[in-house]
Amino acid sequence: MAKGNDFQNDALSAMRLQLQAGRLNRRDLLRAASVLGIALPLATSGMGLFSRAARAEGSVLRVAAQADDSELEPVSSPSVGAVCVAQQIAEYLVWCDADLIVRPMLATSWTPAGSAKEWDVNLREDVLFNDGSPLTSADVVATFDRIFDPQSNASALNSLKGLMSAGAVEATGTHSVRFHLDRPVVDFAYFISNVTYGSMILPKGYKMHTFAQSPVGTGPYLLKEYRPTQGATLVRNPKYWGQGEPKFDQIEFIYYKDVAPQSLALQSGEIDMMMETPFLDSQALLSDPSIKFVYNKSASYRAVHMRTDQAPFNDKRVRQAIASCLDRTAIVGLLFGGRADIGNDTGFAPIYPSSPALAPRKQDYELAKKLLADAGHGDGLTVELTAVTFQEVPQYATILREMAAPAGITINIREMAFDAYYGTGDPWLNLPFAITDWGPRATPSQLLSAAYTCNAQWTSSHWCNNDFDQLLASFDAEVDPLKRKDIAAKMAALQMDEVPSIIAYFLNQSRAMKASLMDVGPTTTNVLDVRKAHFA
Amino acid sequence: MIRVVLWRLALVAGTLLLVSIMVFALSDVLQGDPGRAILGKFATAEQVAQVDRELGADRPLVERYVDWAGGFVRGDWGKSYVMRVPVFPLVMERLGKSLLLAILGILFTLPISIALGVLAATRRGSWVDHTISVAGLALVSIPEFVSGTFCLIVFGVWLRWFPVSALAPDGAGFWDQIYRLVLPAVPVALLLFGYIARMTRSAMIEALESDYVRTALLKGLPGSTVILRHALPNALLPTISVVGTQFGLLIGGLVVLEVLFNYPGIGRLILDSALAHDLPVLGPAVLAVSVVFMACSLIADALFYILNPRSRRQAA
Repeated sequence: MAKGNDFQNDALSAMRLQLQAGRLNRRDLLRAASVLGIALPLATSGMGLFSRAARAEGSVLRVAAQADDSELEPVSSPSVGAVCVAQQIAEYLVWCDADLIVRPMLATSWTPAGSAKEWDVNLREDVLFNDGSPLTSADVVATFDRIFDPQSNASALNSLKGLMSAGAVEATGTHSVRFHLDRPVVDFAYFISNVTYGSMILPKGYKMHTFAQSPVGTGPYLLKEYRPTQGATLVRNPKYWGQGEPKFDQIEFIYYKDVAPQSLALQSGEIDMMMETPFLDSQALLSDPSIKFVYNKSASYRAVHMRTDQAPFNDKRVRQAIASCLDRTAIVGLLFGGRADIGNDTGFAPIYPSSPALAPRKQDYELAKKLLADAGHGDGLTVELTAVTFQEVPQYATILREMAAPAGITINIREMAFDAYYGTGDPWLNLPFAITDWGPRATPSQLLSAAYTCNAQWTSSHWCNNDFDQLLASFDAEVDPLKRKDIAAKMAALQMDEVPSIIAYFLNQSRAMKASLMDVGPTTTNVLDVRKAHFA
Repeated sequence: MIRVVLWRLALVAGTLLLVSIMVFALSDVLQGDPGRAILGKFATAEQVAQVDRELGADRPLVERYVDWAGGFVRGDWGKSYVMRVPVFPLVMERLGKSLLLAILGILFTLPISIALGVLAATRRGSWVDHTISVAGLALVSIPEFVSGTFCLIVFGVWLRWFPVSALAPDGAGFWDQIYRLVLPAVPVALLLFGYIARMTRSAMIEALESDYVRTALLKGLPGSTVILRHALPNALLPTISVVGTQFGLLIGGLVVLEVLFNYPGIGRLILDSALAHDLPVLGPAVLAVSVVFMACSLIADALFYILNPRSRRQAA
């Protein structure tokens, strides 16, 4: 075992005891240890597994990605198409895998200095940017300063706000930095990983909106050409620091507007993989033997939010009544053929190690009718539900309408285009009753603080519960995984009782690819890691 | 003659001016915030207001229009808010791609539909005529995403004769691009087939019943000569007008096919920039399509003029 500081050692011995007592499983221990920057021999043992395949000369990987007409700007672009290209050119301090174990990337270690409020991060010393300059702590400081510059409109702010502030990163050596957080956060490592997709390390001299012209990063590929809304061509970085990586000589990204053409292109062999393959649009691929699906559990979900500050939803019995109408197993079956996790109206997705085991909320029309009658809606209730036209959301709205009807709730559905829903006037934050699509978050804290705390930036249900906020703060600061589970159970119970949003399922992220394509790094976000990928 | 041409050109200029005003007014209604379009949906209200001020989006409407139209005429089309690339080359590239697809579709459909239209007219009332008419009607009523998907699955996925993505990879030659456009051009051709064949048929019937055809036949000329030399040139006149207007419509109107075949044409550019409130792209793209549309009808009129003996005689 690596030598740790007191903080780490205390935490680790507590976890060891719990492992022996059978209250913590091995995977949870690995995960918790990796987050604290403790390199257990076990935690890294999986790493060398894939690197045996040899590199094929001239090999090309063709990847289809959903195009949004966005520029290639790693700091501010929220679009999957731009982010997955930039990720091949620039890299993160830490890499978070699908199993939520964090692994070193540009950082070799991250250790809490005393408490989880200060973190020391050491950098690899052998890394060069593709313009030849070495990676130093100054680049890391500049990257985070850029994120906190109000002019940047950085996407990373959404996850880092409330965790740290401008000037939080201090260079303590040529290859070491210290992060000064606003509050103790045990899960800090996730926040500087690919989960915060806009936190890739760029050289200190980087000027925003010049990435397409001067794409400088430390990553496995070099940008050869970027064609807005059409695609990008990348070639192997011969001086990449990763041993024997990457395997492919070239990656072609092809942007698509729609899922169906991507499926057809995959079937006809014109592309090798899709970044994301939604279940509803890709049934034809399921029966094709030359194509395989890679599934990942995720914390991506749809929130059916109800404004807790407006009638009729300001009465929690109304919110509970609607939540009691749903047959969640049936919903997951209809929308995903069973390939999704059932949700219980709390943000503690099954994928999180701290998530409590909950008895699922059952469909109970008697209860729903009683709750409605108690709330003064004994004669029935009519509400309008807004559904964004995105993937399965409109179908989900229809199912909600049908399932709510027997309880005397009439739901009128209004569909709204994606750009309008998230556009001018922010309907998604203001409508009384609507379905919003949420991308995955690596920690419950990231998920909850985005929408369910009093000062959350995106609180569409306008829910504010001080007990919940306090519990969340203590959750973030708690090192002991078992104690975290206790706090999580209290928070989940609160959220289930108050129902600011109905969360009926958490999506599995699925990616269709050629059956012969191996070792594409699976991740929980729309993140692409092809360093070890190769054809069988 | 010169007066006619000048009058037509003045009409074109006037129409363009009107379109530009309409586009500008429409985008002003659509607009919301240019700042929002630039910064994306997650920016704060203060940031958006700041960018709006910097862009001068808070100036009076007329002032902004004059500024914008002046820039358009000078070729200074500005930069896309969203993609941050210059608009002029973007629109021109997309326009070129759309033109190529539309021309290919027309080239596919024109010979067949004219031939079948003539055939139907000469065999009026027979089963050949009925078959052609019904087929034309049926094909017009099949939406292009249905015929497009059908072509994709049969010829792209099953038989693998043609690629399913219409856009040639970087550095591919002209003929490779044409080869990739064959599949998407088929639905275009099917759409037009009905119109053109039916138009040719009825014009041909009218021509065949005319006095000069009867005279030619009575003169003892062989039937084929009468049809090809005398009836057809006259019967083609309305067909030319139809092709002229349809071609203009095809330029901006193939969004569905462009999405289905992943072909970056101008229709998709217009749709996307409208949805993203990317006004610097939307205006010029719509205007560019209008220019092409009007150019097409001008050319069609000119051809009409040249082919029509009556108008030639009047001019002389």
